[in-house]
Amino acid sequence: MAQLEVTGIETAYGMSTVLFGLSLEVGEGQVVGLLGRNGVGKTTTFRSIMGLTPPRTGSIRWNGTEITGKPPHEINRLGIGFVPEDRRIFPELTVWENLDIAMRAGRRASTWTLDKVYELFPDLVGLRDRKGGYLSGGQQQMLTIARSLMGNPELLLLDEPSEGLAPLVVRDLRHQIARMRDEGLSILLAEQNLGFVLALSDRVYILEKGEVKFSGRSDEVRDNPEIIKRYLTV
Amino acid sequence: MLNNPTILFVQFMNGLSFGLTLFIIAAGLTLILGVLRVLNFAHGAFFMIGGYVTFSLVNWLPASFPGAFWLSVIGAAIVLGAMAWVIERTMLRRLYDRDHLPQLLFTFALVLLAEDLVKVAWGTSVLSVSFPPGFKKAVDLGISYYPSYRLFLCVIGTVIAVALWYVVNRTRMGRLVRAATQDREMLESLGINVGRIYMMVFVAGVALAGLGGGLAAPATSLTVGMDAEIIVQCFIIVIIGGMGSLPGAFLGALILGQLNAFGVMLVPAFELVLIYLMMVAVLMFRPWGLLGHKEVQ
Repeated sequence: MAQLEVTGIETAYGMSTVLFGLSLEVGEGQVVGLLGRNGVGKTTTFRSIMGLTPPRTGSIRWNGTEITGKPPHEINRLGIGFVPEDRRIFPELTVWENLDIAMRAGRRASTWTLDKVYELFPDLVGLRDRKGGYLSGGQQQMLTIARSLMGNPELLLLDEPSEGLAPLVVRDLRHQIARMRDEGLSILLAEQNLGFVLALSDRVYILEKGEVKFSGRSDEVRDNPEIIKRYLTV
Repeated sequence: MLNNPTILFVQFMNGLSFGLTLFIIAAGLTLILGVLRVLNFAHGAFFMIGGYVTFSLVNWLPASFPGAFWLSVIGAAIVLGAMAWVIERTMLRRLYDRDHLPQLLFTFALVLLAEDLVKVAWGTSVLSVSFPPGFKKAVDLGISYYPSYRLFLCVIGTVIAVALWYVVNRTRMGRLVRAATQDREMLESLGINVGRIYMMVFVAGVALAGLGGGLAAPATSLTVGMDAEIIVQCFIIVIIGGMGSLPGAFLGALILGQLNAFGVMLVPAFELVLIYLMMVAVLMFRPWGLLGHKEVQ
C-alpha cells in the first residue's frame, strides 16, 4: 500500500475544471516528481491533496484512510506538509515566529526540532529576528520549507521550490531536499526545472491538461528525448 | 479659558479618560476587523448591552455584597462573550467566505435586534449605575481635584492596552492571531484550526465591548440610542489608527478623546465636525491610517 494514493480526482475552481481524473501514488520515503508545463494542474493537485480546493469526485487516501473532505488543518496534522509556490511566509512575523507557529511534535522517531531545522538551513539562524517580509527570495524559500518541517510531516508537497532562485541557491536547495529525503521524508515535488527533479526523484508523473500522460522511473524520462519534447519543452 | 491651567488640565484629563474608555471598545472592533475581516456594526450594541447587564447585576446583587460593581462588570463581559460565542458558532461563521455586504447586513440586523431587546428587557427610560464604593469622591492631583472614577478609567484603559499588546506580541496565541490576519489559508495548511482562532477573537472582542459598557456605565447614562454614538466614534478611531492595528486604535482613541474635550471647550458648535475633519485629513494623507499598513498583495 502506498503512503499517498490519489485516485481519479476531478477538481474545479467554480465552473472551470482543472483536473480530469488524475491518479498518482507516493510510497513511503520516496521522492516523486510532478512535471508539466505551466497550468497543467500541478498546483491544483497539491491544493486538492491539502484540502484547500477539495476534489469533486475521486478519492485521496493517506496511509489507507480517506482524507477527501477533511479540512486542511486536519490533513496537515495527519502528516502532510505543504510548501506553496508563492512561498507565503507571514511577512509581519519574524523568522522565528514563522517557525514557532508551525511547531508540532511528531509521532515518528526522526522529529524536526528548531535546532535540527536551523542545522539544515543555517542561514536562518542569523535572520531569526528579521521579519519575513524583509528576506530575499532564496531566504524566503528556505523559511517556507523550514516552517513546514516544524510540523513534522511524513510527506512534503513542494510546489516549484527552485522557481526564481539564483543557480547557487538552487544547488543548495537540491542538497537540502536530498537531506530531507535521507531523513526518511516522502516528497512530492512539482517543478519546471527538469534537471532538478530528475536529480532527486525516484519516479515522475508528467501532467498535461489535468491528466497524467506519463508515469515512470526518472531515468526513463532522462533517456527519452521524445517525452521531454512532447510534454515539457516550452 | 486658555490661560487657566486648571481648566486646561481638567479638559485634558476628561479627554484622556474618555479616549481610554473608548479604546477598550475600539480595541475589540479593530481586532475583529483585522482578523475576521468583518466590520462589526453591532459592536456599539454589544457595548450598550454590557452597560445594561451591569446595571441589572448591580441591582440584583445585595448592596452590601463586597465588590458588587466589579463582579457585575466582569459578569457583563462574560455574558457578552457567551452571546458572541453563540452568534459566531451558529451564524457569523457561515458568512466568512461571503462578500462584505451579507456580513454588514448581518451585523446591522444584530443592531436592530439588540435595540429592541433592550427596550423589551429594560424599557426606554434612562437608567444609571452609581459609582462603586471608594470611587465616589475626587482626588487631589496637585493642579486640581479630579473624579477618582474617571481617573480609574484612565488606569484601566492603559492596563488593558498593555495587556493586549503583550498577548498579541509576546504569546503564541498572539502570533497565531497575527498570522491569521496575514494569510488564513497558509495558517490552515500548517495545521492550525483557524476557525477556532476566529471564534476566540470574536468572543474576546465582544467581551471587551461588554467590559467597556460596564466600566463606562457609572460615567454615563444608559439609554437605548447610546450604541449609535459609540459605534461611530469607534469606527473613526479605527480608521484614524489603521484598520486592525491595536496601537493605532490606542493612538486614535487618545486623539479623539482630546479633540472631543477641547472641541467642546473651544468651538462647542463645531465639536463633532472637528472629529470628522481629523478623519478626512488622515484619509487624504494616510488612507491606511496613522499606524496601519498599506495592503500589499
